[in-house]
Amino acid sequence: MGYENIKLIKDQQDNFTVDQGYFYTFDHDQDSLLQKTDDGNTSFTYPFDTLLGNTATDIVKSAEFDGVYFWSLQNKSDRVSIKRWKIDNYICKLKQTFDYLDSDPNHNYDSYAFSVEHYHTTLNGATVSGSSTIYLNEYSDHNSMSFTTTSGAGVILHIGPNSNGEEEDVEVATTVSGGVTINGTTQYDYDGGAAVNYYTHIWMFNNYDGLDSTGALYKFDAYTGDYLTRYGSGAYNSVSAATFYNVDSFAAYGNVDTLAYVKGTNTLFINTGQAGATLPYYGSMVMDNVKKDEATVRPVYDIVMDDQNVYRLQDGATYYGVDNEWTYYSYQLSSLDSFVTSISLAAYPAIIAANQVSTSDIVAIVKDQFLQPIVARLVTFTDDNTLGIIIGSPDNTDADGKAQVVYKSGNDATEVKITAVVEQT
Amino acid sequence: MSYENIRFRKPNMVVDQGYFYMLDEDWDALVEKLDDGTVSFTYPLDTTISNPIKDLEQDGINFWSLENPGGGTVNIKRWKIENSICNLKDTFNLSPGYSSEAFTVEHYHTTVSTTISGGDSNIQVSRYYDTVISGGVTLTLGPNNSDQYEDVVVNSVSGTNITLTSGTQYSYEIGDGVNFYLYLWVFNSDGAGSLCQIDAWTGNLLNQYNDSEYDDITACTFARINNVFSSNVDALIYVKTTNLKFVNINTLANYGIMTMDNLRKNGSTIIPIYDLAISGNTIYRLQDEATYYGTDNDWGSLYNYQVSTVRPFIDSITVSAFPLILPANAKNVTQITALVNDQYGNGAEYKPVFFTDNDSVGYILTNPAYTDYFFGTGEAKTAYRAGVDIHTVNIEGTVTQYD
Repeated sequence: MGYENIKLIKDQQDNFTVDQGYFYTFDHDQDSLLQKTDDGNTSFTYPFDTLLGNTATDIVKSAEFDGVYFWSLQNKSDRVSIKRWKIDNYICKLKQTFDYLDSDPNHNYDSYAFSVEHYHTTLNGATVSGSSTIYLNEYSDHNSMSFTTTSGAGVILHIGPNSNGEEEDVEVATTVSGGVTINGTTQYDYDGGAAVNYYTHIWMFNNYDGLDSTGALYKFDAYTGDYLTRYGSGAYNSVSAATFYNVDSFAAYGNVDTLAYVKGTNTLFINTGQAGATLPYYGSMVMDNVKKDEATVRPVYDIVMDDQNVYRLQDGATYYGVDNEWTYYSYQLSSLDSFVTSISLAAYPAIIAANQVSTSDIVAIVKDQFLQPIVARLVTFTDDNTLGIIIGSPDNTDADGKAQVVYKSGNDATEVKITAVVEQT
Repeated sequence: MSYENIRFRKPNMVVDQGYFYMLDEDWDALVEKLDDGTVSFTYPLDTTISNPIKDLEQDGINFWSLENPGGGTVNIKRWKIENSICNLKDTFNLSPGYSSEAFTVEHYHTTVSTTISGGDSNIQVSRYYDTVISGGVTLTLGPNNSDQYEDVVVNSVSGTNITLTSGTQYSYEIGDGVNFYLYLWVFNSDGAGSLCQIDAWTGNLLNQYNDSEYDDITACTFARINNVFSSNVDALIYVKTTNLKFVNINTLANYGIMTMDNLRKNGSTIIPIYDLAISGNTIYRLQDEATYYGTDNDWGSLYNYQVSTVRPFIDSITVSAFPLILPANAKNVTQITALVNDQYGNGAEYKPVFFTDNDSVGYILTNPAYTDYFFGTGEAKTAYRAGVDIHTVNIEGTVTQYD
């Protein structure tokens, strides 16, 4: 079928994540983490050391990768279960399990999407074995570095691999200018630029806000699994895809680490670092997950971002006006780069006499997927009337994304279709 | 299907600057669409809804929705787009004795007329200071050139000076927007019909005007109408069968009535209008079918708009002759009168009418003739001189509009 790619099995591989061009999916039936290539071939398989079960409620509904660990979410009959895994010696080993039970007197749990707040930086200069201070290129002054678990421990930095393939975890004690001090000392030597990864919180989109079925975003300690807080909102209800990623699409903010989730036809980008009763958004991005009838939303089962690409896991896609329904799950792409996405057209007035004299102002507004105006871009207008004419086409968009021309009527009473076209350059 | 455009799933609509908005209780989102039906953006709701939205309105700042769940209750909600989310701001549950599918919010738009500095408690605006702005009214100022908004409360009005209860937070330039809303107007179909005036800030019923005229109304809006009536007016506008009525909310008298083309080709079946929006001079009617150029188009489960125009536009022409019978002697003449009306039933002013006849010898004496410019009768007069054949002569009048 048209436009299929990674071909994940429905009701078995309802999750995926991406790392360096490879797609990973948890398969509870095969008891393995599968590594697939873009064309759907399985390039490698990492068996689980701990089985997930083989019932329908054991299906992994969401997968995340934090640079070191894989994370899975299962929405089981009596709990939501989040597990942390690591590939170690060809095996996908379970490291930790957090169960959120329906029997909790204060919370009901029903979730299909979560993510792990995680950060990536590199060593600033070589670090020798036995160091108690580590200098970092980023995040040393970020509030995430001051994260403390509910048991009182500091954030764990995963350093490496080094040139020998060695890696280790160290616990942050304090932050210093340009770096951190750690409890104890490093075990191995590392060159400058060696990877440093860490995670802090789990963010779960729950269809319950406490016991109310109105929806909330839950925040958990990713080390202990303890509940920290929640943010109630209908916008967090019925969410099926989320991820955490560093995004540079919002000019007002620069590079930001954001929790992104799909709601309807949009991906919304949450600022999780903000204090307060509600979490603000950096922005929102419209996608093309609507069938050709322009009325039916295609579900997005999981989402992952890599570079400027957004991969949406779907069971069908609409390309160029044609609906394609898939036997398997595959991905459809969006872009984090600003891209011409919509042109609204309006005529003032919308009804004129068909006398080859009357005119109407035609205004087009060009915006990108983030609803920001596209500036200084030529818009070409055409009409389908034999005698009606467009005057002033093409026209450049202004600071508000507006381009304007004039239409002069023909001489037959008919609906005239005016089309505006703008090219992405 | 033919003539489809926005392809809405739900029968509610607001139009703003070429974008069409629909509140979808299944998607739990405010959906923004383009003219061709493409979804250009969605704003998730912070509070999910389960009842169908029967009507959607916008006051320039807020969106307002109406739900009619039954049991004598109607729910009206105020929403505002903030930070990519459509947030619920107010809920008014009207009960008992309510059943409605149409409402609107009385709202006004004006602009700052003198520069405002942050901290100013005296401001001036270009309109409404001498009519509906009074102590207690909340004005929304903005956006300014930093895209900032704020709400300010009027303490008193003296001449053109508006005194606020406290100073403004931000600065504003001349021409920056000022928006405010006052009342909700609900067409109540409970009982024999009534029009309810409700405080839009508290949800309290202020007045209820009982009249079967207000029964079974499905579409209405509130808008400023320029250059149509004897003066520019802010009118409550609602659909009654094939008419659009423009109501003076102070007297409930009609400023005017406009005829529309929401009839099937059989000329007798009325096409329902589910919602109404006005943008500029264009009226957008939300329908699930439309008749264009003599052909009925059924849009199935989807809703699209059909347009009417606010500005006076030629709507009809009738041609009459006096006398109707002439001798065929190439000498006698008859006076030909074309009556040209706009959609409001008013005579069209100074419009050229071109007359033709189908007699080989007979002819029209003055062609074209212009409709009356001074008295608004809509009449254009000419004369026809008879030919020499005894037969029925068809005379046709064609009028056009250049403005």
